[in-house]
Amino acid sequence: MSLDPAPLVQTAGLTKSFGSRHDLFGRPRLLVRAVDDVSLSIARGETLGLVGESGCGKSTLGNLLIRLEDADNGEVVFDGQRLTDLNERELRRLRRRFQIIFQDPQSSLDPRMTVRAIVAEPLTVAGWSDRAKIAERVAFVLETVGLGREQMSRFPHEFSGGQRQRIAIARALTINPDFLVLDEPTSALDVSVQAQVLNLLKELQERFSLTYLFISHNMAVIRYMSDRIAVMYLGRTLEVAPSASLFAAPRHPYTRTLLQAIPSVVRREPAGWELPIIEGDPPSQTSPPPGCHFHPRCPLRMPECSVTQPALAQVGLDHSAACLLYRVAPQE
Amino acid sequence: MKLPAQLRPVLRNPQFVAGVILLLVVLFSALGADMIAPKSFEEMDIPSSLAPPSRQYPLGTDHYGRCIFSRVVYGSRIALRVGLIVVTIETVIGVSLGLLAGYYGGRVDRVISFVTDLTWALPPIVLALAIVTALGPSLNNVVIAIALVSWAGYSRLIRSKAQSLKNMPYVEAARALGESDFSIMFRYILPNTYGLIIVLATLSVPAAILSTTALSFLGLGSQPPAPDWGVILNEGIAYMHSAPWISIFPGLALVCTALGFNLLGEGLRDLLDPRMKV
Repeated sequence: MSLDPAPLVQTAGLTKSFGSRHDLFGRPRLLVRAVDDVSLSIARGETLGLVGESGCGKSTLGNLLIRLEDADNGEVVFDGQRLTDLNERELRRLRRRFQIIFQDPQSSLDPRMTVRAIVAEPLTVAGWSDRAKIAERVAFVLETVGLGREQMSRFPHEFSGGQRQRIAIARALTINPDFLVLDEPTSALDVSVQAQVLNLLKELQERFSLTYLFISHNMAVIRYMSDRIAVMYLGRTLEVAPSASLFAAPRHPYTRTLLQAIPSVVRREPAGWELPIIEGDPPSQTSPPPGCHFHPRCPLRMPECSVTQPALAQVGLDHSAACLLYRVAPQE
Repeated sequence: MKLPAQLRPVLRNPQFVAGVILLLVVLFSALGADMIAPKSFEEMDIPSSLAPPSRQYPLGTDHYGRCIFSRVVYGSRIALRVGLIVVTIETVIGVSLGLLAGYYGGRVDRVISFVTDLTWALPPIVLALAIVTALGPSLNNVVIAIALVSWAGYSRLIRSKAQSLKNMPYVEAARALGESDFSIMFRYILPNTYGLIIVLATLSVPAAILSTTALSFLGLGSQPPAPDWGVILNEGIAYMHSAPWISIFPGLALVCTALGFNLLGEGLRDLLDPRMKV
């Protein structure tokens, strides 16, 4: 994990399940463990990429970090404050320091509000009342994300997908947050627009020294954006590593197969970590396989994998993986 | 500037246009009753009682020789006022409860939904009869009674809409900004249900008017000599064979008003949300 002494965001043993505990007839019902014992830390000013297949709990983890959902277990510490302990009022006051940007800018903007109202909203919540100051701030933020003053009185449906995502980014930036959860912010956009929005996000990060949690299932996008990357599978983190190190020398068999599944027009030279491409779907989340969740699909499985659940172990500099392969020989 | 384009489908919808015309007639007679009606609604002319329609009395007279046309025209005021008041009260009650139930869910939802289902299960007229019997016969009591028993539809509709809206990303975004529950309910969820509310309110005006008229007809609402259509209908029963015009014309007025609101409501529904069209 990060060696930074004071990370901005830190989680320990974060767990969240969905589904009620009992069905209509009082029988215990199967729960979906969307996030299962996740411990992560994000340093100030860095981008932590969170990658995994759909349904692996990435978005839930993002929601838990800013307490849009309450965790069942574990804690989230934001800049030294335990978020999980705060009551509604304290939490509301702290909310201006972290914001979220959703995947679909179509539905994340209220169709009945003008752009001006949408972007000014966070200021009203924060208690601003001086109209001139609000107008000035709104114009500034819109300009920052590349939208003009003259577009302020339009409605979201009058904009293209990329522009709408810029509006959503502007709304998140209005109150000067420190931390942004970017929940697949470009997955709903055209490829040509994706790059523009990604570059905008990078620029903004530098300009306002923001810290990002960047969620995506797209390895190329993750690689481009992230300083460090966490790989999730069925609610657990399987590998956490600096971006370069993850792509150069992935350790966990899942990460290795994941990287190999990226289509490429250039024939890649074998780097020594290739494994056969895995097939099939991730197993059912209500009854995940015992031991390591990945073992039924793992080309390197050992008999023990179906029994023992591996914990994240150090496998290199700032690089950890949760796989029994590395329990025996933690060094290179 | 954009209005003409939006109005075009309106004019292409004959039902909607018919509804608007019917309601304009009713509205016009309610507002201009003093100018349209040839007589006062309670002016008696005993010598010409039970007279059939004629030049002097366009729709005939009743057993006191009162002008039916004037009474029907003045009656439109009562009908419209009653419809508007009832719908306003039931909208306020139903929408607030529906919002609370849909947004909070859990225990709040269970309690509100139970009360809603309870109200829904009782026949409105019977419940209103009980309330009026307890409060005493008067138009105001009837209005209150009808409003108190007919909000369940609003509550259910708004509840389900709120349940789906509260999971929209823009509502989540509002929560992430630190908006209070109150603000989310009334500034994010409620405005997105206006279309539904307008349609439902329009469609429930006729029901409100019909229910109050029915109670007035039974003698529990407006009292004679008020020109309430229900009262006129009631007075006409005794003369159904000798002077059918006493009952026919207020009945027709009632039908036209109800039809007008229904056509308008359905037209609005098609216009505001084409997906709801069956």
